[in-house]
Amino acid sequence: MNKSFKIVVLAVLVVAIVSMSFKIIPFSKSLDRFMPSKVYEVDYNFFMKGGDKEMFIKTYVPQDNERQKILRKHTVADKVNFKIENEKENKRAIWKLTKGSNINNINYSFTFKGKAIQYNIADNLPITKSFSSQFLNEEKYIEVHHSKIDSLAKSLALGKTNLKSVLTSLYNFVYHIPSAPIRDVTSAVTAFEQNQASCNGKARLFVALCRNRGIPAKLKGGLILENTKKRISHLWAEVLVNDKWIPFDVLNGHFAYLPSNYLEIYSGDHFLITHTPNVLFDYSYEIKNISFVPFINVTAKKSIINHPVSLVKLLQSKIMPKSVLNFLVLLPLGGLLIALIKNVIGLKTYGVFLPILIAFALTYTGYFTGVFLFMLITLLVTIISIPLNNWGLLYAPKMVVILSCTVVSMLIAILVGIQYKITWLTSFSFFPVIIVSIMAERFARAIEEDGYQKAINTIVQTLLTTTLCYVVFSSVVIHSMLLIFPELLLIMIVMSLMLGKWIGLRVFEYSRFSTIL
Amino acid sequence: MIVIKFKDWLRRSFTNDFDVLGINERNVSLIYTNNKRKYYKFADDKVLAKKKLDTHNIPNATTYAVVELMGDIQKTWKKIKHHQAMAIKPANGSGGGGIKILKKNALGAWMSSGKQISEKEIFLHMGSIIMGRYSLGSNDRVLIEECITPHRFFAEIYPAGVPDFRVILLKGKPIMSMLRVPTDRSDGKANLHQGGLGIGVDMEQGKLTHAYDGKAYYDVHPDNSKPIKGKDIPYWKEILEISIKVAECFPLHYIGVDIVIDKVQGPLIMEVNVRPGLGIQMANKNGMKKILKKVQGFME
Repeated sequence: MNKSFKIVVLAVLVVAIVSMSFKIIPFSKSLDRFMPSKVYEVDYNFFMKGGDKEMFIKTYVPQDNERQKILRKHTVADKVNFKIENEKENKRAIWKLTKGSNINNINYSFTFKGKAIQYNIADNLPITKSFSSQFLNEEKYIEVHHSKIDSLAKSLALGKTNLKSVLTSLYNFVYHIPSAPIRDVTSAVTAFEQNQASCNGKARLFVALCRNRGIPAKLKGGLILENTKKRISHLWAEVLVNDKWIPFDVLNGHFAYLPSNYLEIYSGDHFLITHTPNVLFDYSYEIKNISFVPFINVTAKKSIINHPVSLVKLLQSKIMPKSVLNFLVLLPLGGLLIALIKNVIGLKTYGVFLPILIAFALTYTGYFTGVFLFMLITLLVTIISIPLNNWGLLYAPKMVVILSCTVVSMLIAILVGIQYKITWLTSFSFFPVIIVSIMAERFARAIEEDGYQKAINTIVQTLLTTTLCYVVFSSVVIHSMLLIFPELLLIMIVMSLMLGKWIGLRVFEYSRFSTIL
Repeated sequence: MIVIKFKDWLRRSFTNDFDVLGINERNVSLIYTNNKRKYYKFADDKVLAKKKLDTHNIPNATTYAVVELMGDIQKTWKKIKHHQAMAIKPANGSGGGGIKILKKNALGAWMSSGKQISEKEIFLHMGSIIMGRYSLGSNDRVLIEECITPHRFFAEIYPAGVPDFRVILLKGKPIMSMLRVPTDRSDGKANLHQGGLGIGVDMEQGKLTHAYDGKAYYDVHPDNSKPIKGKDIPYWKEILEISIKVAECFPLHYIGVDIVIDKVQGPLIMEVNVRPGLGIQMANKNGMKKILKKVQGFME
C-alpha cells in the first residue's frame, strides 16, 4: 500500500510541476503591473443625419492616469475626417462629415482598466488662500462671488481651522441637499436656491463654495461604468490639495475617493458632446463589464488566454459566474488550510469545513460585519436553546424551532435594514445563516455538556480558523494564481496526501504533554 | 523562548522523536491499521458488545432489558420495575452522555442524581435515547442493566460514583492502564475531561502510582486526602486476564477496555473503546510509545 502511495504522490507532483513550467514564460510576458480591479469595454455611438451641409461632432476622450488606463482605442468612421486635438488638459476627438456624405453612424471604442483610489488629506493642512489661479475664477454656472454663495461659504467655514475640516463641512452640506433627476444645466446658485439638484448642480455648488474659500477646485466629467447601455454622463469635482487634485463626488458620497468604475473623461465645465446644430442627432454609451485575471493584461495574446490548462478562458466566457469559479478553486485551498490547522496545530472547530463557508461569506459582507453577524446568530441560538433544552425537546424538532427562529430574525433584520437603510443588516442575505445556526446549536449543547469555558474556547478557535481562511480568500494574488495555474490544485492534493500520513505531535499536544516529553 | 520551543517541536516531529503518542500517530499507526471500520460497531454499540462478552463468558453487568421501539417502553418497564436499582444507557452514547442511574428510596420512589424522578420522566428519557439525542441524531436503543455496587476499595479512595479501570491493549498485549476516580468537581463522573482524576497503575505490581487531575499530580485524593500512592489493587490479575480475553474475542486489535469491580461479582467489563484517549499517558507520567514498540503491529 505504501509503495502505491509514494508512486501516486510522486506522479501527481511531477505532472503538476511539468505542466506549470510550460506556462511560466508565456504568462510572465503578459503580466499586468497595473493590477486593475475593474475592466470595461466602452463604445461611444453617435448617429447624425442632417442633409446638405458639412457636419461635425466633437467629444472628449479619456486619458491614462494613476487610476485608469485606456487601451485599444479605435474609431469606425470611413471617409470621415477624424482627428484628436489637445485642449488644455483635455483631449477632444473631432469628426468632420463632408457635404453630401451619407454616413450616419460614428463609433469610438476603447478598453478601460480602473482602480479605486482613496486619498488621504492630512488633518493639519492649513487653509492657504491662493489668489492667482484659474481654478478660483467665477464661471457662467459657477457663481463664486454671488452674495448667497459668499454668505453660505462663510457660515460653513466658520470656526474651521484646517483645510480638511473646511472641505468636510462644505462637502457635507452639498451632499445632504436632496438629489433630483434634473437633466438641465443647474448652476451653483440655482442648486442652492432650489435645495435640490442632480450631479451637475451639486458638483458646481461644491466647486463654487471651495473657490469662494480660496481653495482651487474644478469640475470633472465622465461616465459611471456599469454593464449597460446608457446616455447619462456624470459630473463630480476635484479639489487641489497640496498640489494634487483630489476627487469628491457630492452626489454619490465619495469623499476624497473615486471608485474603480468611474471613467474620467475631461476637466472643466464643458459639454461632453457638441455637434452641428439643427441636425438629427442621437448618441449612447455601450458599456460591457469584462471578467479578467488581475495579473494578466486584458490585451494578452489569445493563445495565452486560451491556454488549455488555465481557467482564464473559463472566467472570460462567463459560462460560470466569477464568484462560483472563485469559490470552487478556493474550496480545496480552504480545506487544506483547515487540515493543517487541525492536524498540525491542533485547533478545534465546530464543524470541520464550516469555517471555509463562513470565511467565503465574509468576503461578501466584509470581515467585521460578518464576524458581528456570526456572533449575533450564535448569541440568538444560544438563548433560544436554553428553554428548548430545559423542556427536553427531541433533537430534530428542536433544530426546526431554532432554524425557524433564525430565519425569521434574519428576514426581520433584512426588512428593517432596507427600511432604515442600515447596510450591515441587509448583508444578512449573503450570510450562510442556516449553516451558522447549526454550528451555534452545537455551541449551545457544548455549553451544557462541557461548560462555558470549553465551549467558548472552541468557538474562539473556530473564529480564528475562519479568520485565517478569510485572509487567504481575500488575497487577489492567490485566487489569480489558482486561475492561471489550476495545477496548484494537484499540488494541494499532494500536500493533503502527505498531511494524511503526518504522525507528528500537534502543537497543542506538545504543550499538553510538555511535562512528560 | 517560544521560538526555541517551536524549533524543538519541528525537529522532533519530523524525526518522530517523542515517547508520547499523539493523536495523529494514534489514528494513523494504531487505529486505522489495527481496527477495521466495519468492526467498530462491536465496541461502539454497548448492546452488541455485551452480546459478544456474554457468548465468550466474560463477566459484565447483567442486562435487564434492551428497548428498541418507542411502543415497548412501558411494556418493558413493567417487567423490570421490581429491581431496586438500575442504569439506563444509550447503546451508542459517548462520553457518558445520556446515562441515568435509578435507585428506589425507602418509600419505593425512584431517585436519580439525588432527585425524585417520575415514571413519565423516565419514559421520556428512554424516548429521547431512542430518537437519537445522545447518538448524533441516528436512532438508538436503550440498554437497561444492573446497577454496580463498587468494591470497598474504591470507597477507600472516594465514596461516591463508580470508578473504573481503563486498560489499553495492542494485539492482546496490555500496554498501559489507569484508574479513573470522580472528584467533587466532576459530579460523580470519572472521565478525565469532566474533572475526574486519572490514577496511574504499576501494571507489574498491581499498585496505584500517582493521581493527576489535568493540572497537577497528587499522592492522595485532593478532595479528602485519602492515600492513593502505592495502594494495592484488588483482583489485578483477573482484571488483566479478562481484558486480554476481551482483546482476543473482539475483531479489534487496538482497544481500551473499561472495567469496574463489583462488591459481589468482582471485575466486570463495562465498555470497549475503539478510540481510547491519550490522557492515560499523563496519568502514568509516561509516554506509551516505548511500550508499543515492543509489540508487533505498531507501525512506524
